[in-house]
Amino acid sequence: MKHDRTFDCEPTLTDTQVIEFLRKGYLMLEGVVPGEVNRLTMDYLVDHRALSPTEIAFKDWFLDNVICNPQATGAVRSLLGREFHLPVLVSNHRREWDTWHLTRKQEWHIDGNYRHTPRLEYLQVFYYPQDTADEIGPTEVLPGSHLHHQQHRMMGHYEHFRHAVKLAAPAGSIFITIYQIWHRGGYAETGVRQNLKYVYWRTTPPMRDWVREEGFDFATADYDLGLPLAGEDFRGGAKTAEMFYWLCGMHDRFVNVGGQSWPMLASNRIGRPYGYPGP
Amino acid sequence: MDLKFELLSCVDALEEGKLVAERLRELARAAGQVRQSLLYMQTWSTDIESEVLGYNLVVNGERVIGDEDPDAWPYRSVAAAIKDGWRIVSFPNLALLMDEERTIGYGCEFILEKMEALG
Repeated sequence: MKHDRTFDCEPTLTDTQVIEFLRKGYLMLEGVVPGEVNRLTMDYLVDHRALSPTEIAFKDWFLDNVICNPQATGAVRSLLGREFHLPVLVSNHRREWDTWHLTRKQEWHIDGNYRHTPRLEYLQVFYYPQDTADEIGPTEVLPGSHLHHQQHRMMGHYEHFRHAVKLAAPAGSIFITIYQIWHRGGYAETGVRQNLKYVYWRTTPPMRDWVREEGFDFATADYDLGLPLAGEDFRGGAKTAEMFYWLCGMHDRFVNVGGQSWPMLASNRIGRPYGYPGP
Repeated sequence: MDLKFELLSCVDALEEGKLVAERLRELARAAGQVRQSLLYMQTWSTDIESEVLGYNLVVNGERVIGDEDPDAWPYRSVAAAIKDGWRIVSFPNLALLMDEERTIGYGCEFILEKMEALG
């Protein structure tokens, strides 16, 4: 059994894909779990309605195709390094649309015991075993919100966000998130939604051992999400660059002089950006 | 109930000789039964013309599930809400905005209220 153990595989994300994940705070992998495994999962969940049906992870078909799913673990390996730790808990956010909260959706929140930090020590992952269209309330996320300090207790009055994204996706989809991203179970109009959630951890120091892109340039890479988010101008890009440097194992070399220096957007800039600390 | 509209209707009725005392009593009762509605608006800056990044509307103690499409949101700015009769009761808490590295919240948050008569 692979429980309480680490796992390793080949990384699949490139430099640009790693930065995109750090900018947005999530990565969607649509339909990566085989249909038969989705069906087995749905059948299992009929008789196992506990909040944490962790025993499902003892099933080889679930372990091999969901927990150790090749596409998902390839991304996790890219972000958490080799020999990352497998989940120790599987939760199911099962939701019947008409017996849920009065508003038929969850409050915006950050999951408990979060840390706002440039370090990426763990990833929270969700798996849809069924087609999860808008009508049954897919998870909603707010891209870039993992960079905003907030407390769950102070989020109860939030409702609509201009740049929120509904993660509607077909059965067999897995999405990987930075733990502290703001999210909620979306508004449901019908049906029963099953949504399994689990966490992977880093066990090795960060290093740039994902798929290196030929010609990738740390100096001119685009670290900014490009959305008019709620923070100060360009600070999101600087925070993303800091996370990327940490992931590369170079956090001690990260520098942000400020002003029009790196990593601010390059717009008709003369030569290399000022303040670039080097790869 | 829109009290101003109702009062103007009473003026019309008075001028037409159709106003009765019971109508005014109804209005008096309604005026004494006002409820607070709340409008939370998150904006990029403290400018009341700043684009709204998020909002939540609570009428008579209940959330209003509005349209999720930003183009269909009730107001494009705090200023637009004010022009529709909303009153600011809380400006963005500047103490929470002073340190970008430790900012708590999402943008600048205005809280507005409107007192409306039941009916």
